[in-house]
Amino acid sequence: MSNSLDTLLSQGTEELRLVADEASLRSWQNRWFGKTGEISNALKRIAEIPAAERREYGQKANAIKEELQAAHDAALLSFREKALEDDLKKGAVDITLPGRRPAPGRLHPSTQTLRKILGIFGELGFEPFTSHEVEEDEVNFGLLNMPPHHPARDMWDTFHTTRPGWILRTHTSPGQIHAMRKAAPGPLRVVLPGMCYRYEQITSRSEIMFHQVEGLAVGEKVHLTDLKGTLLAFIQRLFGDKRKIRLRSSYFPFTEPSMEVDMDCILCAGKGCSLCKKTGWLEILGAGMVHPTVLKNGGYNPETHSGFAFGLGVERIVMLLSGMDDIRQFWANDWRFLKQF
Amino acid sequence: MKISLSWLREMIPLPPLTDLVARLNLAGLEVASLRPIGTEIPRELAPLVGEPGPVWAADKVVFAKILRIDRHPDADRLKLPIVDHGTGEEKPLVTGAPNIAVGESGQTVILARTGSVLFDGHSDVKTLKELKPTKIRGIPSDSMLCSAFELGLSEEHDGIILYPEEIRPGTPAVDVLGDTVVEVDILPNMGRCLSMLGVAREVAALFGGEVCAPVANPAESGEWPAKVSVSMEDSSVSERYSSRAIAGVRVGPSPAWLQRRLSASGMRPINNLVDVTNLVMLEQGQPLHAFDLDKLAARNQGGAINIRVRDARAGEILKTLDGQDRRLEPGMLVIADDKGPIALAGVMGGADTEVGPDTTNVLLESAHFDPIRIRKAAQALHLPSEASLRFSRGVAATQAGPALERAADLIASLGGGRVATGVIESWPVRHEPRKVVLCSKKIQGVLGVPVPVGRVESILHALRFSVKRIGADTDGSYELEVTLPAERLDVQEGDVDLIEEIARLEGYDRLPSTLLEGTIANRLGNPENDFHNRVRDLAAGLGLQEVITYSLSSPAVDRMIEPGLDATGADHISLANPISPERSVMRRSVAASVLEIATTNLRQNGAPVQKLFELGRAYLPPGENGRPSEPHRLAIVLSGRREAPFWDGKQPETLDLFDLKGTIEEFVDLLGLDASQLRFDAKSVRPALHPGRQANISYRFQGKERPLGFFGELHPRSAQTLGLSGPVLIAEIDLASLMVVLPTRRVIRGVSRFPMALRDVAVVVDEAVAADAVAREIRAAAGDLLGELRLFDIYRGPGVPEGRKSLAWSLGYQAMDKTLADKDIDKAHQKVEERLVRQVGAAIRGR
Repeated sequence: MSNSLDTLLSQGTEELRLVADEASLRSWQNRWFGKTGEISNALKRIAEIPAAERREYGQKANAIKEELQAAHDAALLSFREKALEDDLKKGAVDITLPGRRPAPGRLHPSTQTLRKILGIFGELGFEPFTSHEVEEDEVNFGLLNMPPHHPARDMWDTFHTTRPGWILRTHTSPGQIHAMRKAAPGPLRVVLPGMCYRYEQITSRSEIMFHQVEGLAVGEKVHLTDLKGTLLAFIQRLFGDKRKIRLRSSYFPFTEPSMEVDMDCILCAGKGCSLCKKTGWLEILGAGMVHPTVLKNGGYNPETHSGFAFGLGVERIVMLLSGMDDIRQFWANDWRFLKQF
Repeated sequence: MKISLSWLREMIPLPPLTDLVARLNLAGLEVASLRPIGTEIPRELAPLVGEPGPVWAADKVVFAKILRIDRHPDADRLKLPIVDHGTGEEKPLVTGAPNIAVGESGQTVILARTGSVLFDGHSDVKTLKELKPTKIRGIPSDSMLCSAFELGLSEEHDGIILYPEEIRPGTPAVDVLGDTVVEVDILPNMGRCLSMLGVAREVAALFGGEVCAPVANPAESGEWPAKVSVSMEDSSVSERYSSRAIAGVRVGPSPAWLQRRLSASGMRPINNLVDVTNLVMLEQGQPLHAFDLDKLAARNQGGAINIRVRDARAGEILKTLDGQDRRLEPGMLVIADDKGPIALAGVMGGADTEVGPDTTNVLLESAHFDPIRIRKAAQALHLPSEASLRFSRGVAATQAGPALERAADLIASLGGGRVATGVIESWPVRHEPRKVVLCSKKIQGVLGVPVPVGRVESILHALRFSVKRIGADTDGSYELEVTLPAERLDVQEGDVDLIEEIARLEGYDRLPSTLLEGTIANRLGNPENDFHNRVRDLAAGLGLQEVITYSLSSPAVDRMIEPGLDATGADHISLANPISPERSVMRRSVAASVLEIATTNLRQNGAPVQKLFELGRAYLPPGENGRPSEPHRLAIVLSGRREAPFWDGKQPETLDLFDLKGTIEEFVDLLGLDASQLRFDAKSVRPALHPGRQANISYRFQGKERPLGFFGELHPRSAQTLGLSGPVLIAEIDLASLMVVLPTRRVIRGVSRFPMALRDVAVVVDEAVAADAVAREIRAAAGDLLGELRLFDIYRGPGVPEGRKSLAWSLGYQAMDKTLADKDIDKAHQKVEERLVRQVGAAIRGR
């Protein structure tokens, strides 16, 4: 009897060896583990076994059952593994195909840079102050110490409106008057951002419209050394803490003393390259101490109060930082340009 | 201002060029360019050189004298000059120069020896070439006679330089002709540096040294050739008018040195009379004018010449030197005799009294004129000149005298005439030198650091101010009385002007850097700016690209959005001097300019999709008076595909009106408002938009509907005009109106922990019933139990009567405090259905 059990194991194993896929495995399982399968039959036959051998028979039959079951499980696992592997193989993609990109919104490069600038001045205690773009000639020039026919008016090519005495502001400086009149006689620290206009030919280097940021501090103890320190702090925050600045004497009617502020070139650090036209320096700001006449026009007493002011062009900073060489790109808003920022 | 360094060096010793340029730059005399004439420019200054030229080596490029000129044995065109070049030997040369001939001798020429690097005379473009020994038609040649082109002096190719004066052979050319011209941009307050003398004084102040100013005391002899008087109508517009007569001059070309100085300064030599007036102007900053005294006498029929500085009279006409008849207006200053104007004061002389080749007697004018008058006249007549430039920056009355003497002296010595005895002059009011008080407290107040009194005095002295101490203390404080030199017309304000000079000469780089003291309390705040930042962030977060467009536009572009606007710009703030018709007005519509950008990007730049926004200003003209308003608007334009096409082959859908509407709703929610309070009023009638796809947008706030703006689909006809296919969606929202309804605090509702039960209802209503109206009724009926409401289908067709539609809604019932029982939901749902039947005439499908 036990011989028949012996053949049972080898027969089951042999048949299982021939099973090639999961479907055949299911038939094999039916044939061997079904209700009338070989294993059930073998177990049922225990009644026919002499009592003395039953125990041994039973143990052996169960062992065979377990062994075949284990072989089945291993086979099943290997079929599943293989099927998964086949699937994975089929599922391989050309990993170099382009990804599906979300379409994000972006801010205009001028906005991005303007924010950086205002952020830095914000931390230095300067708040933004919004002013008008269509401005009175008197505020844009006259109150800034440029009476009619002042030669310095030639420094700004002006758009005039058809309404006499009203122009498009040529700089953010008229905002100084509005800000001072709001704050005087109290202390004032503001930045005036906004669009300015110049009557010019549009070329790769000049535009009729650009953003300027003007800074203004007025108080009882505001000195030229503070101007220097504030601008140094600003430039080091924006362009890196290794930057140096240089002040050159200059002229603006609304400041005295007046100066141009250069920083050492961000590409060559002063050695001379094409960006700084071999000079080692980049012109970055105009600045000075607020002219007593302007202080007076803003409502302050120049004997007790002093102030400093400075101005810079936002697009010029973007161009410096990005290596752009055509200022017309800003208002053309070509999507291929904008998506690079 | 073009500064010839060889000229400047005669007035003041100069430091090395590199130091000079560096200090001038820092002191406000910005060097714009350098022009070498035979000289070498240090490498570090090379970027300033506009057009590099040859360097005339002192041992290679020298003056020579032609001893004789022989015939070339084989070539008629070639000549064989023999020259003395200072070595003692006679040097034979070969040349083809057409301006010397066989048999001639004695000319002064410039010789280049082997190894000289000059411009290649055989090339039209300026290329540097080294001179090497060669043979010309069999005759060895290792040197050559130079043309002006080869030396880099001019474009003159034909012939060699025949120098008009004798120079010792062997003298290096660079010693006589070599120069470096430094072009400096003169700031408006530095008019005093529009002269060599002014620049020399500045150099002296920066580097030290004594200025050697040319002084002239012309020898006078004889009577004036005509009877002349001078006067002025108003001594406030012309403080001084001085004149001299020079008799018996011979007009001819100026000597080489004078011509060279004028050329270096960018002026064209004309004749010795005109050249002297120009030279003295360049030297001293005082413009001068020369009249032909005989022509003046003839005008006055031999009678007295009564010269008067006066206002032009309306309708007077003056033919100026350039041959143009100028119609004069009151306000322009003229020089007149009894017959009428003879010159436009400080701007240009008259043709009638112009000096020319036949002039023998000269009347020389040296005067003061009011800067503003000169500036106005030069601008009105579009006649900028070297003279008007200087007068309009301010020339002191005291300068007229020395300049007159210098010019008279030079004319007499160069033109061979005599200076008639006496100056005829009018100078009725002489101003005392101005004084300014300067104290140490103010200096420290402006600069932030104290400056010792000795330092202040030495700086001011260097700049020709005289300084007197009027108060001093042991603590280092002091008070100074400073007397201004006459030429310092720029010192208007007083002590601050002087403080600027102290800082400028001390050097800004020597000041320390400090930060402002303390924080300030009365912050103005800028909630508007904060709000705009937030709007930009939200818009970008919604997938919109920010653009910034020209605020200068044209009526035609704005009429895309507002066709009712006047086509000529009467409804706009218009520019008096537009650069082009496309930029002739300030825009009224932000959306219109964004639409332009979207169109360009889609049509020309190949963009598959445009989802753009701009936060910018519109500009609205004021009523009668007052300030124009410049409201900030948010404009959105969508067009094209919902996304860029992908390689999966599926065509992305086209953006439609509901993409825009959804964007607006989401934007409003993101601001902390409630999109369900938005009202879209379809009664909007903007002709530029699709009549059935547009609405005015308002927001229900405090019981009122506040208008915010509009949105819609561009009228297909307009889209077609722009060349766009498919829908173009635009919106414009006024940000000030939006700020008004903005919540100051945001109330966040709790989230229920209990399950939501979904019920559907299909509502059959007339076509005219808006979906929004149905939703409002559902919300009103279900009250707090309604956790969610979603429209999921719109159906027209079999089963729904003609003229009606079925709107299928999914309602999510939910309570905050419990799981709703079926019977509660049934009850609420029934209430909804009943209300819909009652309020919007609905039939409930499946009921």
